[in-house]
Amino acid sequence: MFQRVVMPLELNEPFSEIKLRCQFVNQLNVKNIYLLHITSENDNTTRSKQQLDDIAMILKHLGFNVQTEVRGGQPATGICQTAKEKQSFIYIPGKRKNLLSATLLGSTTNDVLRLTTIPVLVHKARPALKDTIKNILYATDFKDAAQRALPYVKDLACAGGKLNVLHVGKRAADPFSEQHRRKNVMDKIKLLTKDLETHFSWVEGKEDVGTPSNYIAKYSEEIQADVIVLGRYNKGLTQKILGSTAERISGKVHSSILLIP
Amino acid sequence: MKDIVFRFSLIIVLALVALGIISPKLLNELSTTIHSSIINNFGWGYLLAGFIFLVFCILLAFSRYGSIKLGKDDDQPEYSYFGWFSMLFAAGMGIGLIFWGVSEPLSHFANPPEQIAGGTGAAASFAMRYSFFHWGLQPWAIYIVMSLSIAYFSFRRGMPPLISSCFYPLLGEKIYTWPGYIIDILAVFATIFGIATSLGLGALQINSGLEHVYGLPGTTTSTMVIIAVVTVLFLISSSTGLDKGIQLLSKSNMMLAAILLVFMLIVGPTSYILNVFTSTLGEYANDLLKMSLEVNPFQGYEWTKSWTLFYWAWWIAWSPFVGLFVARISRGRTIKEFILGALLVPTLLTFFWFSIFGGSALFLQLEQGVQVAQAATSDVSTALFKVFSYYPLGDVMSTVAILLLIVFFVTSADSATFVLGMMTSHGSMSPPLSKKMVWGFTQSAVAAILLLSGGLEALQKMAIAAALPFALVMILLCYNLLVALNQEFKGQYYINKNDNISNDIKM
Repeated sequence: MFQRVVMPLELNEPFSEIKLRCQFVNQLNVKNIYLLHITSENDNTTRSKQQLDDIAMILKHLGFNVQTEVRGGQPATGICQTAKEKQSFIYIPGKRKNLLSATLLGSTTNDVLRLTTIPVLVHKARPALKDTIKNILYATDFKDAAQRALPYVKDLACAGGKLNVLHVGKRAADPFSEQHRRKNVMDKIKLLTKDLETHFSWVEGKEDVGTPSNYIAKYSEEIQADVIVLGRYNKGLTQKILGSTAERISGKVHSSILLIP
Repeated sequence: MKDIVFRFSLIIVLALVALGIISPKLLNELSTTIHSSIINNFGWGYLLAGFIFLVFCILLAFSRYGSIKLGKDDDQPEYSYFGWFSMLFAAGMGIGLIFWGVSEPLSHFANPPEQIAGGTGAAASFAMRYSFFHWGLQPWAIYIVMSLSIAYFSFRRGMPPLISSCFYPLLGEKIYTWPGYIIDILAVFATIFGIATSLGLGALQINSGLEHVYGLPGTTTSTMVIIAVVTVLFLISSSTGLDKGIQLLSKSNMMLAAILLVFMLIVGPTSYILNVFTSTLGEYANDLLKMSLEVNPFQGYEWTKSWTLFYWAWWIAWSPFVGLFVARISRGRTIKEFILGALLVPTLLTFFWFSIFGGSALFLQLEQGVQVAQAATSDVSTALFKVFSYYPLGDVMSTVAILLLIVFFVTSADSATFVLGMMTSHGSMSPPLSKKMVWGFTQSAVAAILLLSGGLEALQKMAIAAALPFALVMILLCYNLLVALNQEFKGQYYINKNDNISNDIKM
């Protein structure tokens, strides 16, 4: 699942951090790392390419399998395009922007989350770069998109790993239907957790009613999740206007987000 | 605590009535301040809400949800079309239409907004158009939003017929706690004050009619006697149950109203009336969008505030009562049938009513040189009888009108008693007689006491104040209803019918 990764660099990062990022993705069994730099119109492409190659050379000496690419254009589009061409997932270090610039300028992370058609891992404050992913929150609506994310959840399993399965649904319109809806959800969660118990040493299921983005963000902070795994459903007017759940939670949580489109 | 909605509603009502007895001036000042600040600040919101409700109803009727039944799939309508329309009309318009049928067109004709010259042909055209508008599609759209939600959630989803039940998609189990109680208490509050003022004004008009036709003294004592007699009548009707009492009364209303309408059409200026009807219908259709959103901020705002915004607030305040009642009588109809029936038939009947009575009055004023407009504006309760007196068999028509007023009075009070009983008995379809009696006496007592103390108008303003939170409640009702219908359409619901699960839930 995680054999190849596209890792965008701005080329102003300290090398030590780039090295840690590579070590972090390696724990996901990554075989190839594509270092990518997107140049703007004023950038010197040759110089950027040279810088990137220098970084790659050192990383290769350290045992990483690294390749480089420099391309122009809009960053999010370039990242998604490269990942698609290389058949890789995307690793983005989530950076905190202040509210004003995030509102006015948006963020590359959110643009990637909106545009991507391939898996993206947005690395935020948790887990620390030196740590491994141990506490996973898998948010599911039991639809196709969530089902597509399930193999990635299993792939993230490690010894001593904890998995929280969360379903946030819409309340049914009357108590009788709601009672049945809840029972149905609990049955599905039970089935799912039983299946996942073979991969994780600790699995717990939970369900609630409300706005998924709010509840997932709240719960992930509550359990201090390392990563939230989400599927993305690519339809609907609400998503077009408000953005997907992943986009909506990305600014609210300290957990990393693995989005499977 | 048991019967929270009943106890709290009764306490609030009695407290306000006590204030009306002890210090009508204070009640008046209080209600005037609240009322004017609401109309001044949120008047535009009422107009916008009314328009949204109308659009919502039309879209819903022709949507994919139109074929969904307000009941289980095999439920059939409990009442015939005639019985249903009669009860719809009696509950929705009733006394008000008789009270304003002549007075409103004449009032607009004599005192239109400042951009129109009063007493002219243009003023007459404006008067008829706006009478149609104030009593036309929007009031019914407001009622439909309320009644459709209640009918859907109670008959289709098996919940108690209460406004709070419609909030389950949003509030969940909280509808059984204070958020739900507040919604229901507010509904009781608006209903009791709305019905009390309506009954008080109705009693005044019956008194005016009796004075005009039979020369009975138009004193406070005689108004009190009228209220007492009518109270006895509606309590008797109330004790016989909905099927017999209200249906019988409503059908009698329709018969009497039809007799009066046809008679006036024949003895009145028939072709003039039909010209007024046709012409105003065209103007109404043409200007509906403009009128629906016309707040007149530059010129004529005062007029809009005192008429259109007042009416819109009044219909919203009146909607819990009409909504619950109409929901109760609409089981088994499809959403499309319900919306189109409730939107078009009573509206058309109202248009006929205004064309015949308003048209006849304007004919006297414009063609015969009889100064009825001035008389109507000075005392609105006598306008109808004054107009009748210029036509053949005027006394007979006045007597039929008084009879109609009494029957409408009894029907409205009877329906209100039933609805209040339902609201305060956890939505029971057969509320206990004791509760119906308590509310019956309370609403008559409120009308009588405040008529005596002069606090009736203050009470009406309080009812209108309650319309503001209700406008919000109704917008949320639209949301809740759409959520529920959408879930049903996707098959995400179970029908609680003899515990047969008819539809597997899909996540």
